[in-house]
Amino acid sequence: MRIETQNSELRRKNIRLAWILGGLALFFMLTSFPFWMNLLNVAGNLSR
Amino acid sequence: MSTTTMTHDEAHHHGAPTGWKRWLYSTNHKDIGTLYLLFALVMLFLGGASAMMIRAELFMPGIQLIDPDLYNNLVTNHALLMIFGAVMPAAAGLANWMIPLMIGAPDMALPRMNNLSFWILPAAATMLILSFVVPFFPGGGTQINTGWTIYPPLSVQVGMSMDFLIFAIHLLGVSSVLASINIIVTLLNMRAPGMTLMKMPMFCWTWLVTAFLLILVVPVLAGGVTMLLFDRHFGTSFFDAAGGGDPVLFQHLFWFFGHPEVYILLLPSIGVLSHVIPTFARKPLFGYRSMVGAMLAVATIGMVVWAHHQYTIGMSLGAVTYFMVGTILISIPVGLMVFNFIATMWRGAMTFETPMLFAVGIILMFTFGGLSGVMLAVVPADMQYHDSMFVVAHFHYVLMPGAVFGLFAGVFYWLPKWTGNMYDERLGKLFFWINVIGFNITFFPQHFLGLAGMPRRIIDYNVMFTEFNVLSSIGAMIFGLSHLLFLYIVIQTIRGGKSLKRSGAKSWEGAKGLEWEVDSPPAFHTWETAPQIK
Ligand code: HEM
Ligand SMILES: [Cu+2]
Repeated sequence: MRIETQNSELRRKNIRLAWILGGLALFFMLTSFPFWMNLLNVAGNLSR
Repeated sequence: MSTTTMTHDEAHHHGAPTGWKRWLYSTNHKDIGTLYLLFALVMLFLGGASAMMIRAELFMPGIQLIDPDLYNNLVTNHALLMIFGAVMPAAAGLANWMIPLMIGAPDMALPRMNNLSFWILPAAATMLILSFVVPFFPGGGTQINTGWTIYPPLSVQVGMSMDFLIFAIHLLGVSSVLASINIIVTLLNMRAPGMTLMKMPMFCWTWLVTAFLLILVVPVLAGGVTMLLFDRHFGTSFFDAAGGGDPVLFQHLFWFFGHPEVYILLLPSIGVLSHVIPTFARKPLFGYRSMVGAMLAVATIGMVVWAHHQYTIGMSLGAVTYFMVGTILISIPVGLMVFNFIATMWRGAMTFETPMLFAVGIILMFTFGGLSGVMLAVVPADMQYHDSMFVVAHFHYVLMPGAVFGLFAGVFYWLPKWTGNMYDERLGKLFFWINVIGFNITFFPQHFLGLAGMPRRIIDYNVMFTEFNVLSSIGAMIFGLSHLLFLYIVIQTIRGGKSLKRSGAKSWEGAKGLEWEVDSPPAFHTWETAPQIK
């Protein structure tokens, strides 16, 4: 279907960067809720 | 520095595949861009239908046309369809079409993932629409009634429509994170030799920042709605005070996503303006570097001011002061962008084709919305304005010009490039004027309604608010229907009848950039050999 537009090195670089960014996104999702729970506790009166 | 050496096998050279497979299996950035744009157009009309039903009901005090449950459903689905269905996919469509052309790349960096990012959307839209319609089926539970902000405890109490919505948000989130990853990788790894980051066209810069914002905040929303799902079905009490949780936690999670989201909606359109204004002022963009800096500042500060949506929850004085100062600070870099646009126009040889009309309209009206934003940012004032129609007026004045008109400007600006046909300028201008006048009649009166105390998201209102509501509803009908003219112009241009002029490679005399060096319409594959940037 698709013509080869990337040599193998560029392809590897692209895929590596994509995984890094995907990992970043996953990290933000997984840490979001403990992070916020604790921020609320620490700040105490931030919420009410 | 990234280098792009292309291996190009002549034997594989081909044009576009034919039939439905061309679209379903597409890995071509132009085709996927077209799909995104068409999808957005459909959603624009669905969301618009909801909005017109809302305004029809609000034409008069009392309850005439629809029942309160349906009204709440419409308020919720209007926002969700517009934000996630129309504006974000349309901006992604522009990105897909233009980024590879602008940076001299043969395609997006991850073409198959690109296909996936798009094709998740119809599935997500189905889930989203189901969340509005399942309650009409037997056993479908109560209608969704929370508004797009889905605050608990209400969102824990509504029926299964909320589960459809949560699933839809998950899918939409996956789609936009994948698209963002693709855009970032493309921009960082696929630029033509010699195109340094600081030589990159501004539209690319705005999307680079937008994509990072998306990766940072969408997963937090996904986390938030997942916790909601657990509270609904699996006995947790993240947001339930009775079980030791806190409903305000959800508000923090939501707005940590929600405030950056408004910049996600805004920035791609700022990118479009950064091309439209120089083209029609026939001058280079004023202050390229400061523009990049301002954008980074907006994105950074924008990540840490979310609680200005929650002043009324009773935060400590220190906390509200911090969020107030932070919020007001953002108007400095935003103001700088507006200043740069005006300085670009200063003493330029300006002409006012449709994209430029939209651009000038955006500058005037967006600035106005920014001013009401600063009013809302002031804590004691917001205690009065919060949850009133004034907020509705504010965000429509920033979002309609700041996001939607920017996308219209982009479509008119690039339609000749995409189709090879010049749209009918007379009709384009007519659309601009009807659209903009309709917009102002609709939303300007809502400032006064809000200041006088009319709450938002309520089906009925006191008779003292009648006149301005009548005006607003009349405006809304003009505004809503004007989009049929837009549809007509787009279809006419795509079909390219005899009455339309053909567009050369360079559709606009003042246009600059790599995208204007390829044919109009561009070949199926472009920049197979990367251009050299001096
Ligand atoms: C100078 C810049 C801005 C300031 C100071 C500002 C401030 C505010 C504040 C304080 C609120 C909360 C009002 C309330 O609920 O009581 C608000 C709401 C909102 N703003 Fe802005 N804003 C600014 C720019 C923008 C921009 C650029 C956008 C989008 C492109 C935007 C979109 C929204 C939206 C969608 C809401 C309402 C969300 C909701 O409650 O449903 N604002 N703004
Ligand atoms: Cu905000």
